[in-house]
Amino acid sequence: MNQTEETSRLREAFAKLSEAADGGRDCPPPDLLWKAVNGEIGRRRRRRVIDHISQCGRCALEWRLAAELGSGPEVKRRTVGEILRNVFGGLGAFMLRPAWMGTVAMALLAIGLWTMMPNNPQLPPRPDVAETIRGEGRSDITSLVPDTLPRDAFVLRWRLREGLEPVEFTIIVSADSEEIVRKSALEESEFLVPPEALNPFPGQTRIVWQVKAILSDGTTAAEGFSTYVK
Amino acid sequence: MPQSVNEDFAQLRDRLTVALRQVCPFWMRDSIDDLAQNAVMRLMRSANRDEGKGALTAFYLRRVAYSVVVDEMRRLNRRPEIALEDDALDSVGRSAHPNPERLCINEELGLSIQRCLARLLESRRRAVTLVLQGDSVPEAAGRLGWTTKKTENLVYRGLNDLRVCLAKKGLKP
Repeated sequence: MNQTEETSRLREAFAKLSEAADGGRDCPPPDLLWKAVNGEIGRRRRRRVIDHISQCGRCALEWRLAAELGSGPEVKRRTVGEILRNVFGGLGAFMLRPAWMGTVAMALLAIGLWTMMPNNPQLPPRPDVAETIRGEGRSDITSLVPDTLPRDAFVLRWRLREGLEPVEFTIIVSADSEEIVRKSALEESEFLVPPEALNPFPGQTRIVWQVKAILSDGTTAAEGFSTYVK
Repeated sequence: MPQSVNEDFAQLRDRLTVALRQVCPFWMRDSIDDLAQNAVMRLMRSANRDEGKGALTAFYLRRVAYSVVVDEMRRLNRRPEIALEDDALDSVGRSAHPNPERLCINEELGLSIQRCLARLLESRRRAVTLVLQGDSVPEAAGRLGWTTKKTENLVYRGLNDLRVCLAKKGLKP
């Protein structure tokens, strides 16, 4: 059986679920389904609806009906996010994310507090941003975090070299040569290290983190960084 | 009501009927004409009330018709039991799935697909779900806000995961 036949067989079987599906209390209203199909709601809400239809045969059927009816010559409206994303790429999406203000505020606060602290001769000299550990020549991944982060807002952020298109990221966080957190299939280029994972480690502990990216052309990129716990 | 508006509604009813025939389960097939007709009647009544408030676009009409039909489908779905009469049995016999064995296999496969989807990584699950819903890769990419290349990669990996999961259950699509 070739791949096209296999896909149509899977589609047929998946559609079969709708025959006896009852739906549940948490089914989205028809209006929301329509908006999700026709791109009239934001990406996050649309993804939540897609998550729902993957598990609800009835809503999957209603989605297909909306897709059948909605397709036509009319220009589909786009959300502001999609327009900005198309115009500015990843930056547009980031600017729309409410969390970015919090992240930037925390980063600025951390930098501010650090500069106000008296110099401690016992501490090793630090670069201005998280130190890059691996990666030779031109880096595919760049850290966007300062060299020190507070343990309750240890948000690691990175950026791919321009032109690289990520599919998903894996992040591995270690301290004292031991892996403390690992997360795969990250869609966003940021990750909050749970504070409880950092609790065993005193202030000024060097946290090593590695980002691996699966790229859309099937290749991978990886880079390691280190950041200190405040 | 102007003649052109009536034509719009007739077109809408036809379009609704075609779309319903494409997606409706077999037990609902006998209700398709009624569903489409009722939706259009409700729209016409509403248009009569709002006459003069501005033209209704075809897209808007389809959207409202969709909501009406889905509400009705959900209502039909909630009905506890429908007695099977002779003609109903006939219609089952004439359904699009003449092979009961295949019907059973599809149902089992469908449930397994759903369970396997729940285990896929989030991004792969979303991409595969849309493809299973009939989207092409570029269509799925548009809905998810990803590039075609990225979506293609996720669909490839997701379908592979799905295949492995189904194989573990002894199923092969």
